[in-house]
Amino acid sequence: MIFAPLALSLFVAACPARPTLWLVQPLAPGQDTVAARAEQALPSLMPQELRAQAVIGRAQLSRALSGKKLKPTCAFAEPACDPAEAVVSNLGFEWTVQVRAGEEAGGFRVRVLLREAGMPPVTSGDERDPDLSRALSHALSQVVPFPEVKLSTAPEGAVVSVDGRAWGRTPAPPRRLASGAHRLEVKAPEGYRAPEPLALEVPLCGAVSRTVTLEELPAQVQVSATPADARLLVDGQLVQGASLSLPPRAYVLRLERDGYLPHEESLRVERGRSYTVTAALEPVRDAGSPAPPDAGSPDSTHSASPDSTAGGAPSAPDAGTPGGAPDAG
Amino acid sequence: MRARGWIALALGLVSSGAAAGTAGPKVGPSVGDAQALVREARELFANCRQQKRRKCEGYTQAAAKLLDATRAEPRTPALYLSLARSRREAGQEAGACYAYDVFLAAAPPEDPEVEKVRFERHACGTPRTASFDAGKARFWKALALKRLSGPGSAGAELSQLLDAGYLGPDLAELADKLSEAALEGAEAAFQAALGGARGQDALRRGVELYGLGRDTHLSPLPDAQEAHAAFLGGLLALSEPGRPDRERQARAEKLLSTAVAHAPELLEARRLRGLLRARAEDFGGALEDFQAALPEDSRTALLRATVALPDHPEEAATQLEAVLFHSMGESSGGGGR
Repeated sequence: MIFAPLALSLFVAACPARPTLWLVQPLAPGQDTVAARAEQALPSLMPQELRAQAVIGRAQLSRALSGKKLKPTCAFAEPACDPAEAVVSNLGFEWTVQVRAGEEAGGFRVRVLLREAGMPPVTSGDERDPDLSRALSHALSQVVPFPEVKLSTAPEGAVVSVDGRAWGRTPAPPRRLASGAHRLEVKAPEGYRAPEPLALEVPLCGAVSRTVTLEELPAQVQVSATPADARLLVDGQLVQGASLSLPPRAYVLRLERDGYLPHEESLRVERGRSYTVTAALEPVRDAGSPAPPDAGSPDSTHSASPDSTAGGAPSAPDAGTPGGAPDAG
Repeated sequence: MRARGWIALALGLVSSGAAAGTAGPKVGPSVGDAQALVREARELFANCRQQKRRKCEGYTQAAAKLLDATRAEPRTPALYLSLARSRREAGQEAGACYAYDVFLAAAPPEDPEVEKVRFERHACGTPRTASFDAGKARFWKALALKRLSGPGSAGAELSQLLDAGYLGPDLAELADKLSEAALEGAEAAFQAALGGARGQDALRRGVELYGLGRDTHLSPLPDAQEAHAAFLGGLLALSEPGRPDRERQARAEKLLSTAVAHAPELLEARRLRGLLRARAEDFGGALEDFQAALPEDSRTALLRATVALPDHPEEAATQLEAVLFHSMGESSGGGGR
C-alpha cells in the first residue's frame, strides 16, 4: 500500500504538469463501490504538480465544462476522427486517463486506457492485485506517461526491434516506449554489420533519440596466381597471402615474379561482396632460353570475377593481354 | 380542310421529334393536373370569346394546355374533344381534325357528344390516321430489350411520339409499361446503394431511371419510391468528383431531407443527413438524425453532449464519459455511480 503511491509519484514527479482528465468506471455492473474507491485513490497516487491540473471524475468534469463549447465536427468528417479523440481535442486536455476497476475473487482488477491528443490510445494490461491502490498504480505506470523514442541507424535501412517486438525499418517514425530498460536489436541491411543487442534506457520524461552506427563490411578478394608463389601487390603495397579483405573502392592488383612478365589489373569492389582474381603469368622469353619449369600454362592469362554470390563485373585489367603465341620450342 | 394537310403536319412533327431527348415529363401527373389545365384553358377560351376577335392568342394557349391535359390523363376522351375545339378556334385545322378523330375513336358510342362531333368535323373529310405504328413498334421492341433511356430507347421513342403530336388513350399503356420497367431498374439501383454499391455511374443511372419512372407514371409516385429517388440523388451529389463543397453538401442534404420526409424509416438517409448537418455545425439537427438512425453510436452521445453543454453541463459530462468509455470494452452500461 505504501509502495504504490511512491512508485507513481517517482514516475511522474520529473514530468511537467499538464491538464489531464481522469475518469473511472466499474468493470462490471454492481461494482460501483470499487470504482468509487479507485477514483478516490487517484489523487493520492499523483504528485502535487499533476494533481493541481487534474480533473478527476464526472462531477469535476461537469464543473470544468462550464463555459466551454464543443465543436466535434471532425467525428463527422471524411475521414472521421475517433469521437473520443474529438472529445480530447475539444476540451483541451493534454491527455485523458480512463480507468475500469472491479473486484474479482482474491483481489482487484484494473485496466487503464490513455488517450493523448494526436496519438492512438494505449491500454495497460489487466492488472490484478489484492490491493486496489497497488493494482491501480501498476496499471497506470504501464501507460502514463511515456516518452517518445526515435530510433535510427547510420546508414538507414536496418530492421529494428525492441524487446523482441518489431519497431520498424529505419528511418522509423518516433514511438512511445515505457520508461525503463529495454533491449534493442538491429538487423543490418546487406553490406553492413549490426552491433550485438544493445541496452536502451528510457527515462521517465522527455524524448529519446538513439542512432546505431552500422559497420561497413569489407569485400573479400581471393587471388589465384600461376605460378603460385608470385608476389601480390595491392596499390603498390606488397601483401601476404592470397585472401584479401578490402574496403569498397577501386584497387590496382599486381602479380610479379622473377622470370615472368608482371600482370596488373584494376578491380573495383563493393561492400560485403566476394571476388576471385585468377591470373597466369607469362614467362619472359629470352632468345633460345627455355621456359621456366613451373610455368604452368602456355599463356599468361587472367580473369577476375565476383563469386557467384557477388554482383557486378570487375573493371577490365589495364595490362596483361594474353602474351603471344605459345613457345614453339 | 384537306386531309392531306394534316397528314403532312403529323409527318413533319415525327421527323422533327427524332432528335428529341428523353428527359422530362411525358405522360401522367408529371405533366400536370389535368383538371387544373382544363380550368386554365377554359378561362383563356372564355376571354377570347368575350373579346369577339377572330384571331386570339388565347385559343392557341388553351390548345397547348389541353394538349398537356390529354397527356396527363390520356384515358379521358372528353379532353380530346376540348383539344379539338380549341385547335379549331386557334386555326390549327389539321390538329383539330386529328383530335376529333381520336375523340370519336375513344368515346363510347352512347356519348351524347359523338353525333355533334361527327357534324363538327365534316370539314375534315374522310378520317385519316397518320401512321404512328412504326414508332410504337420501335417503342415496344426497345422496351422488350430493356433499353429504357438514351438514344433508340423506349423513353426516346415515347418522346418522339409525343413530340410528333401523337394523341390517344393507348399512351397510358405505353407510359405505364415504361414506368414499371424504369422503376424496377431504379429500385435495383437503390437496393444496391443501400448495400454499399455507390459507384457514381450506378447512382446516376438509378436517378435517371427514377426520373423516367416518375415522368411516365400514371399516378403520383408512391412515397417510398420518391424517398428512394431522393436518397440516390443525395448520394449522387456527394459522389461527384472532388471534396464536397458547402453548396454540394447543402444540395445533398436537401435531397436527403426529401427522402426522410417521404420515408422517415429510411435510416440510412437520416444517418447521411446527420453527418452533413454535423459538418455544417447544425448539431441539434444532426442529433435528431443520429438518435433515429444510430441511437447507440458514440457519435450520438457526442452530439448529445454538444447540445446539452450550454445549459446542462452535468448531462454533457455523462455523455462525454460515455463517448470516452465506448470503445474500452467490458462496459458496465455507462457507469451508475
